[in-house]
Parts: sequence; structure tokens; C-alpha cells
Amino acid sequence: MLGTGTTVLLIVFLLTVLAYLGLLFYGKKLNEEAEGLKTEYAGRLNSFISGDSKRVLDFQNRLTISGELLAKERNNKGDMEKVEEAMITGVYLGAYKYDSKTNSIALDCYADNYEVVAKQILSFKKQAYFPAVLAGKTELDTQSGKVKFPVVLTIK
Amino acid sequence: MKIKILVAPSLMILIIVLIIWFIYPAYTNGIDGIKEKKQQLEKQMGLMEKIDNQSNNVKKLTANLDANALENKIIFSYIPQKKEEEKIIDSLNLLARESSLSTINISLSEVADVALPAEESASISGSSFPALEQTAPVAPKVVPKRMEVDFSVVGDYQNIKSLIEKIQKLERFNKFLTLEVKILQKDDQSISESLRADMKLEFNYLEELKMLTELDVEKAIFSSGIFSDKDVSEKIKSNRSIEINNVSPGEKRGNNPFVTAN
Repeated sequence: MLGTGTTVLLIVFLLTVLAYLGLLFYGKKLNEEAEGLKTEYAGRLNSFISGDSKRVLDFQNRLTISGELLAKERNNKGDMEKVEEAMITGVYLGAYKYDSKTNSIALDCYADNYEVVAKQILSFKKQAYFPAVLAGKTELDTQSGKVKFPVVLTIK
Repeated sequence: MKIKILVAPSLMILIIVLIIWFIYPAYTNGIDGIKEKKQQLEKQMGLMEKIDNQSNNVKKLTANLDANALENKIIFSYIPQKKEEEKIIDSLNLLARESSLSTINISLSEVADVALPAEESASISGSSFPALEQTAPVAPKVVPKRMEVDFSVVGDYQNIKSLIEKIQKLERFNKFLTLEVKILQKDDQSISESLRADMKLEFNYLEELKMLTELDVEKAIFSSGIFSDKDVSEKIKSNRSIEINNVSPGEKRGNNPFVTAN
């Protein structure tokens, strides 16, 4: 007959074999469960995608875009009024050009004389609404007898 | 007797071999061991739970959309689903008339789409070297289609200002890309009191979402179950009060479309 130690080892061996077989069986079961879940998930995902979710996402997209656009909106009438406020006596505008790309207003101004030109440029500079004021090349308009001077105002 | 002596060491070797070469790899081998399969299963169950949660959120959000259909109308007016260029032309023309201005030109053109980067890039690895990190594919940013409208009017300064204000109060989104107001010169070179205003306006529209992609499923709205930026409708309402006109179809005319009909 076998000794006690050998018997214990034999039992451990058998248990090891059983454990291995158990692992193989459990692995197979897990595979089946995973396959079942995968199929079920694909079905649920499909019905989710084709259901009301697109209506919800469509509305959320509109909200997000609207929020972004609203944040960037600017008051063009307000810009014109700020230019009005800064205009001084003896100067009139020939053209007002706003460009959203440069976020600036280019003005063609006409003044009675160079003193008024200087005062007008200073008046624009005093307006905090225009962080940068760039005066261009002045010229004498022979037709009107006025001094024509361009000014570019950067707006906030 | 000699065989009996060999049984115990042989069993021991067999047990060790079984554990090292069979049991341990069956439990974990980095690919398809029990441990990996269980992790996969847990992941799959997590996905199931997630999609169930998302489906419940969609139900809740759809009910919210139905309950607030009237209030939400403003969002669809701000960014409509269709071009509706006829409404733009009609509204601008009407606003010019209301402001006592003469319309010289209203012409529309669609702006070509530009490729935009993805909305955000999600890192899926925990690498401490950003350059080596893999990025998960994310849904491209949704952008509305843009249209540019050249709009020119003639009239006095206050009326032009009034028109600009009214355009900016239209319920439909619009943006002044350029605005040029200049004095008009008469034929005899004298200056007219009327001014000419040329504006380039941007309008847009966003076509109804027809199909969700798998990347869209990951959008935050489905996991949060709450519409973000919901206060947007209030902001639009407070800033924009002029409705875009519904254009009624014109009267049917005779058989020859080349003949001027009165």
C-alpha cells in the first residue's frame, strides 16, 4: 500500500487535474456569456442609435452652437453710436467700413483744417471703446476743399 | 518497492508541471485566460449598463423636448433646419421698407464647407509622454452650413441705423461680416443727403440629424441626461424679437413663363 505522504500527493494531484478541468469548463461558460452579452449589446446599441437619440443630439447640437454664436455676437449699431459720440464739430464721414475679420472700423473722414484733424484723432483715442486708433495718410480734397484723412479704429 | 519510491516524486513533478504549464496559463495568459475573460465580461456588462442608462436618459430628454416644444421653437428659429433663403430675402426687404430705405440688392450665396478638427481629443493611454499617447477617435464637431447675403440699401443715416438694429433683432442668427456706409455723389458731383449701405451678412442652417454614428453615442448629453446651455433660449428671446416671415406662395401665372405677366 501507499504511504500517507504519497496518498496526500495523489489527492493533491487529482485536485489539480480537477481544478484544470474546472478552469476549462468555466472559461467556456464565460465565452458563452460574453457572446450572449455582445449580441444583446449590439441589439440595444442599434435600437439606441436608430431611436429618439438623434432628436436629442440634434437639439443639443443646436443649443451648443447657439451658445457659441451668442457669445460672439456684437452690436453693430452700438459701434456706429460710439463713432457718433467721438465725432467733433468740423468733421464729417465719407465712409464707414466695418470688417468682422479684422474687428475694426475704417473711416474716411473729412475736416475743415489740420487742427480739426488732430482734434478728431485725439477724440477717437480718448474713447476706451477703441483700443487702437490708426490715422492714415491725409490728402487735400480739391473738390470739397476739405482735408481727407483715413482712420482705422480697432474695436473691443 | 522501487516503483513505490518513485511515485511520490513523480506526483510532485506532475503537480508542479500541471500548475505551471496548464493551470496558471488557463487562469491568466494575457490574452484569453479566465482572468482576461472575466475582465472582458465586466467591461461588456459595464457597456450594457451604460447603454441602458443612456436609453433611460434619452427617454427623459425626449419627454422634456415634447413638454417644452413651444419654448424650444426659438432654437429652431435661431438655427433653422433648412436654408429658407426666400424667408431671408423677404424679411430683409420688409425690414428695409419698414425703415424707409430703398433696397438695391439682396443676393445669397452658400459658403463652401471647411474641414474642421474633431471636437476634442480623448487620450486613452496613461503615458507620461504626451507625444506617444494614442488618441481615441471622436465625433467631428458639428457646424452649421453658412450662407452669405449681400444686402445694399439707400436712405438716410438714422434709417440705416434702424435697419441694422432690426436685422440684429431677427430671431434667425445673422452676423455682419462687413458693413459699409458711404455718402452718395450725385451726377453733378455734389453730395447727396442719402447714404448707401452695403452689408455682407452671414446666415446659417443646420440640417436635421439623420443618423447617429457610434462616436456620437459617447456624447456627454447621453450620459448626463441634461441639456446643457438650456439658458440659450432665454438669451435669444431677450435679444431677438423680430420673427422671420413666412412667405406665402405667389399667384399662379399663364402658360408662357417667358412673357412678362402683370
